[in-house]
Amino acid sequence: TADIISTVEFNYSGDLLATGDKGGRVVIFQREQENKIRPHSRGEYNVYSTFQSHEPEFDYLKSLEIEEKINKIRWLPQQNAAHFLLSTNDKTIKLWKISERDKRAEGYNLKDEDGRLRDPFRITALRVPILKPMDLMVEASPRRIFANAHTYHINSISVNSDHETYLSADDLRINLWHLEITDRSFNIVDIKPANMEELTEVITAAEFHPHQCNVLVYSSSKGTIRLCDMRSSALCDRHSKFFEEPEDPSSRSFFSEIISSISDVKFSHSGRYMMTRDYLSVKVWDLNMESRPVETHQVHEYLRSKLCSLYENDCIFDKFECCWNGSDSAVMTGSYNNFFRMFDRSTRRDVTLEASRESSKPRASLKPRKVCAGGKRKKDEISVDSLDFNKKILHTAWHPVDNVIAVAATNNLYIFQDKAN
Amino acid sequence: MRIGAARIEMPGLETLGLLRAARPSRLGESRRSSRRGRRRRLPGSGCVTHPPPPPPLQEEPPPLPSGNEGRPGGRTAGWGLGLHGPGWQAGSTMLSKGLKRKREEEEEEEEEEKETLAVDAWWLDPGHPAVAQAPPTVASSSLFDLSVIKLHHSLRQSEPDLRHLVLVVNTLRRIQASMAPTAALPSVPNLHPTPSMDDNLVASSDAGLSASVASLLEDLSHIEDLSQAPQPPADEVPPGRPIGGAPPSLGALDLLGPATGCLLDDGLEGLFEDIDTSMYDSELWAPASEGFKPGPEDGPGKEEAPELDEAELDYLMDVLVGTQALERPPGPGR
Repeated sequence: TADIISTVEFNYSGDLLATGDKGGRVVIFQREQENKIRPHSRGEYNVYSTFQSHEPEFDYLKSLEIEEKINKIRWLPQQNAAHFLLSTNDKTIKLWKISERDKRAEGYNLKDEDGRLRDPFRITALRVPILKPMDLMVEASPRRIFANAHTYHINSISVNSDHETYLSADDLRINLWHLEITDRSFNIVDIKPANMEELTEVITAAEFHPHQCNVLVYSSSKGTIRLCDMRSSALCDRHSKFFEEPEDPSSRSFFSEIISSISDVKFSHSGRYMMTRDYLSVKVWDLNMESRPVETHQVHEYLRSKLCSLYENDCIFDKFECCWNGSDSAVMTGSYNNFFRMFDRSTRRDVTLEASRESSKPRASLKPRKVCAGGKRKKDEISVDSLDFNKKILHTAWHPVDNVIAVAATNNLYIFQDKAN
Repeated sequence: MRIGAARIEMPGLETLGLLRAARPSRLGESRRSSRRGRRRRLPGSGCVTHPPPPPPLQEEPPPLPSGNEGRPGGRTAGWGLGLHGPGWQAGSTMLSKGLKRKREEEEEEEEEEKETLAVDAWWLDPGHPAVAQAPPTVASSSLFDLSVIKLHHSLRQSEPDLRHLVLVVNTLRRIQASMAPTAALPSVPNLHPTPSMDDNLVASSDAGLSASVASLLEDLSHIEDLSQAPQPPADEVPPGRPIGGAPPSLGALDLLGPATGCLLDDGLEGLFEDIDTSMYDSELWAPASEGFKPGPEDGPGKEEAPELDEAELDYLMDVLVGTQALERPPGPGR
């Protein structure tokens, strides 16, 4: 199970795609450039670097094992030739530097070509080492380790638009870090009650605004989103805005709260909207309107009548992510049976696609899928009862510019692109 | 993204590649990485070999009254939880050790699945047409049992998933509120007031469970006048709250507040004022490391029984108030 992909993230240019898995490994793919020899290879992603980011740890004080599973990866904007990313498990965030080496120095004075030190007395002449090309080598090295700041499990990290700070959020607290400083962080949100038995709500996701470095949002298990402004106070326990859609009394049930729990929140690239994912739907919110979302897209409404069974097998607690395309005109999220859904916001059209070996030969077109909720099943439709709930697509990513998407299906990563590219 | 004009489709989406199907031996052919994963893995290990995880709860479905027709249409198909057929697909470099479930097991599972789906409609709003088909009383008790078992299971984890725990607890409170609407529950909204349910609860076939719950609620209501334990000293640092690199001190064990008559809230902490728990860096949901006693080994079998007897409820209550340290789970807790 160590191969199960737990996070997928494109970098700012889209040339690099990072994945993290349950075994604590990070694998980075790089997009192939235009190539005259292999003209069709343009756009393909090949492995660029692989490294072990986190190892399992043991907390001796609490007698607990800390999982090495990578919960989130976030890239830093590129500032020089090297690439930087943050990766986190439940407790510790690490800053990794990924750099290329394609030259090496030859002709050292004090050591041989095989690295053995020379006897200084034997050196009769000095020479200047020269740089020679070598096979490209990609090295990953940990530059910072941000540890011991979270009592609960980290669910989110988000790099600020100032490129100097970032936030990390666990079930009850959000901390602000400076990328250069590892031995302290500032706690900016704390929802831990004085008495733990009063605990009824946890933080599920958090993100910085893409342009306003003082603004962040965090979502909760009760289906609410709070927007905080760090300028108004150092502690953001009091929100600036509170987003919640009133419950529909006709669809109320014992599971209402669980299915309203937000599993992901993402700002649009424009910064004007944000999107939330709860168990059955994706909602788009206008930051200027707190009372209700401006759009609601049903992901798999046919599951509403199955909630009891999904509660029993714990699927109702699955946490799906969602993402925007580069122009904010479409959104995407995963579902069960290796299905994922795309919604075009302007045309109000949606499509269900499947990420599986059988339906995904290279360069083959994806066929839209349809789930039959009840009644007569048409040809090519799949009935709800035949869905495989072990095949869940929790993590998807969209290229920041092009129509290229990455879909993680358990331990496989699928990359699709729009033929019109 | 271009969308087809006549039908809702994405004609332009093509597959670029399927990656990560195999372990490192096939990856990194074009680039040499100086930091390969150092972990050694046995061939055939990884995602493939183990079968889909079993449902985390009772193996036996809750008992149903006879005559329950289940869902309309009498569908018997299972959920397709990957129980049929071989295990997950391996990468091409590994042996596929997918587990084929035997036919008898499959049928057994299907039967259980069928019974599970049958109780689906009971929890809906009483006005919902589907409710008429399922007797609400017994099914309520099933969901209650299910939730208590989930809570128990969650608490037994070495480090409970707080979100899961909170959601289960909140759901349990809702169910409880609907089952005992006359109880003093100021903060819990009464979602489904069904006055007849009280009588039915006592008279149902689950008399043992009902009696346990009723007596427990009664016991708890007697403890309401116990004084609350002194609050733990404020361990949060001054405004700005810069926290050091060392693990933050969380203060004394947080004990439960005054009773409200609810199964999950009680005022028992007054009894334990003399226990000094300040050395434990722990909270309600985290285990105390030093106070770790090897309690009675329950084993997984205990969790599967849908009906809780008094000993089980007592144990659960003890865990909640912290008199009994949480046990280490017998196997991998995650």
